[in-house]
Amino acid sequence: MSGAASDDRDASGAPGGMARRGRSVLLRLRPLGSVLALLALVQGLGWAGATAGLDRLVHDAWVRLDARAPPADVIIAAIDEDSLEELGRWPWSRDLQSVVLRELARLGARAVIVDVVHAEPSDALGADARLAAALDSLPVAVLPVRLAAGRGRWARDALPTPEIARAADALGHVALPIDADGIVRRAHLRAGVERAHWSSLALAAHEALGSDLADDPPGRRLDAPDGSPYRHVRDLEVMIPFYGPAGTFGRVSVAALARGAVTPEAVAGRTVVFGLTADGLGDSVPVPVSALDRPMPGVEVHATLHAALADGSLVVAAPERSGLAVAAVLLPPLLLGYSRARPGFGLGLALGGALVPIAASAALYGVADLWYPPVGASVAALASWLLWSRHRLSFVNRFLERERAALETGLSAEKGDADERLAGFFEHAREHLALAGWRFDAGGRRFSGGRPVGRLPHDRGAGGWREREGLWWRRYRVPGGLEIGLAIDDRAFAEPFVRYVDSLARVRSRERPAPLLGAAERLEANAYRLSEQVTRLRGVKTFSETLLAGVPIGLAVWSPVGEVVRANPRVERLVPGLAPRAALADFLVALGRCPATDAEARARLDALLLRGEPWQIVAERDELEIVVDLSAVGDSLERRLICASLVDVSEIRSVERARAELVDYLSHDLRSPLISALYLVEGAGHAREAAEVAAHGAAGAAGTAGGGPCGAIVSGDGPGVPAAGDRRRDDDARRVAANIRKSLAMMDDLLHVARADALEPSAFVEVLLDAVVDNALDQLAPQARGRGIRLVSEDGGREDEGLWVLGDASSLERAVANIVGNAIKYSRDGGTVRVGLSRERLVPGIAPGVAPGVASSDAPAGGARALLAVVDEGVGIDPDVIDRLFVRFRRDARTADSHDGIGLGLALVSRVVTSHGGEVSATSVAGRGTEIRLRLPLLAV
Amino acid sequence: MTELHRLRIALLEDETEQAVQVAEWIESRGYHCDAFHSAEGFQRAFKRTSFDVVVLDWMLSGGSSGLEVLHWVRKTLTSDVPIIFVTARQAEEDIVTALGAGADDYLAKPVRRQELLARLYALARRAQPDGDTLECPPYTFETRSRTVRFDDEPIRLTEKEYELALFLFRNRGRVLSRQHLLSSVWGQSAELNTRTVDTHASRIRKKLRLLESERWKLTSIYQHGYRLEEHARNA
Repeated sequence: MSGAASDDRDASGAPGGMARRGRSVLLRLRPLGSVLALLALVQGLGWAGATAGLDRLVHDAWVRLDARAPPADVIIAAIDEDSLEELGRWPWSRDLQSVVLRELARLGARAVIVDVVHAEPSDALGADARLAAALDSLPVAVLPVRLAAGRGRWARDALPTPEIARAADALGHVALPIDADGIVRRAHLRAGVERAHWSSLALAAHEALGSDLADDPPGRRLDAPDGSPYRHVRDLEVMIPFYGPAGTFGRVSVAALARGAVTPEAVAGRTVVFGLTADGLGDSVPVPVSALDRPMPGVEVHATLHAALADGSLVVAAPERSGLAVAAVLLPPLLLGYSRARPGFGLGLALGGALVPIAASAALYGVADLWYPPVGASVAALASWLLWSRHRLSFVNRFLERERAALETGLSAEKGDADERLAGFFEHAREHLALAGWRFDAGGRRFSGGRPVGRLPHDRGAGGWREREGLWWRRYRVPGGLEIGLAIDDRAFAEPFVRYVDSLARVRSRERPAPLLGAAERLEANAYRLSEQVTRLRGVKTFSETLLAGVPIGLAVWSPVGEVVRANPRVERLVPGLAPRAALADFLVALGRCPATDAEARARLDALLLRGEPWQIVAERDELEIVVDLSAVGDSLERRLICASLVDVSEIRSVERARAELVDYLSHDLRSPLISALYLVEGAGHAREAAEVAAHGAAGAAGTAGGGPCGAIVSGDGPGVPAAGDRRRDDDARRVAANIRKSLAMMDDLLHVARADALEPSAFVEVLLDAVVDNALDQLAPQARGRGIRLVSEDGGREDEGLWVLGDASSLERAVANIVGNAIKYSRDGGTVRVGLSRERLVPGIAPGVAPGVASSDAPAGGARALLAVVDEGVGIDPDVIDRLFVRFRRDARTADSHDGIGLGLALVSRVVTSHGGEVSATSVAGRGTEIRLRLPLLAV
Repeated sequence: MTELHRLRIALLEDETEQAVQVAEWIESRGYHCDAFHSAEGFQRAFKRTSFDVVVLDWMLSGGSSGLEVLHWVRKTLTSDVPIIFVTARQAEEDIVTALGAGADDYLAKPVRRQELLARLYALARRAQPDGDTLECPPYTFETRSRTVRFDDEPIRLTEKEYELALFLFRNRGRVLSRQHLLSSVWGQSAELNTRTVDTHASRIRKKLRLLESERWKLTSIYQHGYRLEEHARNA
């Protein structure tokens, strides 16, 4: 999250970003790769035969669904239970079979397919010949060849005995392959040993009947094996389209035939398949349309085959690759569909996709008589969903990791060693809260502070805080280990404090689960970390909200178009009548700076919005005076935010006004009557003196005419010779005048202190310090002279070099005068006060003492300072007092009685020097004198 | 030195006691003093009569301030009569404002008699003829040889220092702005700034010992200029 992002930008920005990333990850899915992987899966399933069982079930369902009435021209001459009952048990004599065959010939059967093997010659003499004759009587007779496993490994064809075989119009094999689940579904239209040279019984009948089918029989070509003479070879595989369960075909009982009870209508023109149907006899096989306990007689299977050949309903298996083809067509749209569909629909889409091959299979079976095993493609469709889900999971993982990493860098304001920081936390807690002592062991290191915390008691069981006699401890189950012990006597404090410790990021960050490799576990780990960070983020948000609401100034933030992003309640309190969530323009109007009507406001607003130039507005409303600082953050327009801070300066300003009024009052209203009184007192004295001078005709009168050679004023105040009473009055008048002057001087002190307090470094000008010091000395010269004190000025051998500073000259003069005045005041009469002003170049690396409130950039680059040293030979200052010398209203108690003043002098010095970025210090030796040093940063010339 | 005619001084001061006292001092010196208690009275009289010097109180009751009167005299009447203003507020801003607005000098209350009279004298005094020598004991300026002597002992000054000193002595008792000094001593030159005046003034103060403890003192009037004056000290 960028620091400048506003709420609504967050709300609109994040989902967009998510969607963008979603699309890009889909592209990165490389659908082709996925499709290929899934196709390989289909192929692999096919090879492994893993889906064959399911495919058979599907096939059987289609067979059952395809059930239909069998053609009437194929019937079965069934050797059923009735026949066995009437004609004796099986095997029957060939003569009996001959009777039946002759009867069929008599009834006009078009062809007879005999599904009774006569592989051995009959024991009865001439029976084979009679059977052959009976066969000959039929228009078409087809006899079976059994493809039997020979002794050992050798396969062989079991033909009818030659005598009978010669009577047959065609021979056909009767082998029915059984699938792995024991069910017969397929048939091979050709088979044989070494070569597939035998047509199946059903096909052979058609061949004998001269059907076109013989030329191009249906069926899937099977690859010819190696051509071993001892193995069966099969070809032209078809799937048998059963018409219905056993017994579907029309039947005539052989018993009825033998009795001559069958009418010709039932047989004439029809193909008759002759064979065993009785239970327990012959080769009945389980087929898809019947349960395992109701197998279908082989004769009916052959009848089905024959009929299906005739009506062209034989089903052929689709080529093996068709499964792949369907999957290849199906998968890409599915994969694309997942990313478009809502997540909840993905599974439905997958299921639908899985049904597509099955439906296709059904349609092919019903319409094109093609068998296509669909399960492989269906499985692939379902697998595609799994694949997609896995991709999405890993995408979510990557996304989480990326976001977490971004958050990590954004949130980790805390740098450095986690243990050191935790130790720092406890140290702060010890200083600020009722934490008496602490220690913790982490990763083999021990930290402690405050009251010693002994060994932590052993405890078993779950984590959590334990307490015993004011010792609180907890062992965290974190990598590297963390044990914390705290000495807290106040239980009411301890409970919230240990909760606080638990919530610390410095502690929580250790509780990360060990990295796991699986995507799901990684997801869990990432989700955990993210939730931890979200908790921290929420903490940051709560912090910022609390801060925003709690700061004692009004804060408001607008977007560059002036929509409010955030504002705290104080804004509304400071700007009465401002609507909640007011736009920047409304805010300015409320401050009386309407950009629409005020050209200057317009210009300042533009400068603020476009160039980020800060703008300060001082707004007065009724009793309220607020200072509004508008500034822009963010380097470009789209990231820019306009921030306003509103500070209520009403109280400060009223104090300032009160002070200004007091200063005015002191400097004029209070002084004026005193000055008038002074004039009265002094004026009376002068008048009397003048009168006396006039009376005595003293030489002073010449002076009043004005002008010596250079216009010097010769004093008219020369001493007269007053009478004794007048002298008394004069003394009184002088004392009154002196007291008035003292009062005025004290007011001056107050005024100067007030002025020093109000010094504004921004109003400072270039000042020649030499001139300031000279003025100050001139001011004090009479005072020094009056007490016979020598004022010695030394320039430190600077000769022509002037010392320039940035400052307020009269305040500086007053400060210097106060220092020198102090020195004079505390000197013995006839002593010496030395005032040295010199340039002091600093040793590089030692920063000049810059006072708070004065930007260090105001100090000269060279770091050179002016040094004013005032040395007296006075009483000195008590060492206990010297540190507090420059505090307002403080004087050395020893000297307080003998000298005047209210202790403002040196406080003013300190205030003036500090506001000029300088410093003042004092050293004193009792009885020997004091040196005050004042340093001011010099202006670079 | 020629005898001054009887100077007419206008005094605008709303505090009666102070006005009486100051007027008395002025009269005691033999000058004529017209004291006014209000700006209106002063303005009426000023239009009729010509004064040699005006003494103006900075803070006047009745809404009008000395600054307004100063503006009225300088801007409205374009009179260049010398004006001294008197202020109870020893604020540098006021002094700078007043001098900038055209006042010639200022005095802080409580006013000392000698100081007041000396300033009045300096302002009313006619310009001195540029003679070959200027005697200001203990200094003697020889304009031909461009030397200055202190009790007959020559003092080494640079050319500009000499000229600045001479100019200050010729205009002793008067407030001289830095700009005035700069243009009079150095001439109009863009390369110099008023710092030059300050450093030269500081040097001649040291070389000529123009200190309070001596007979002459050079006072720096911050943000404005300088005034050289002789002490009105008791003997």
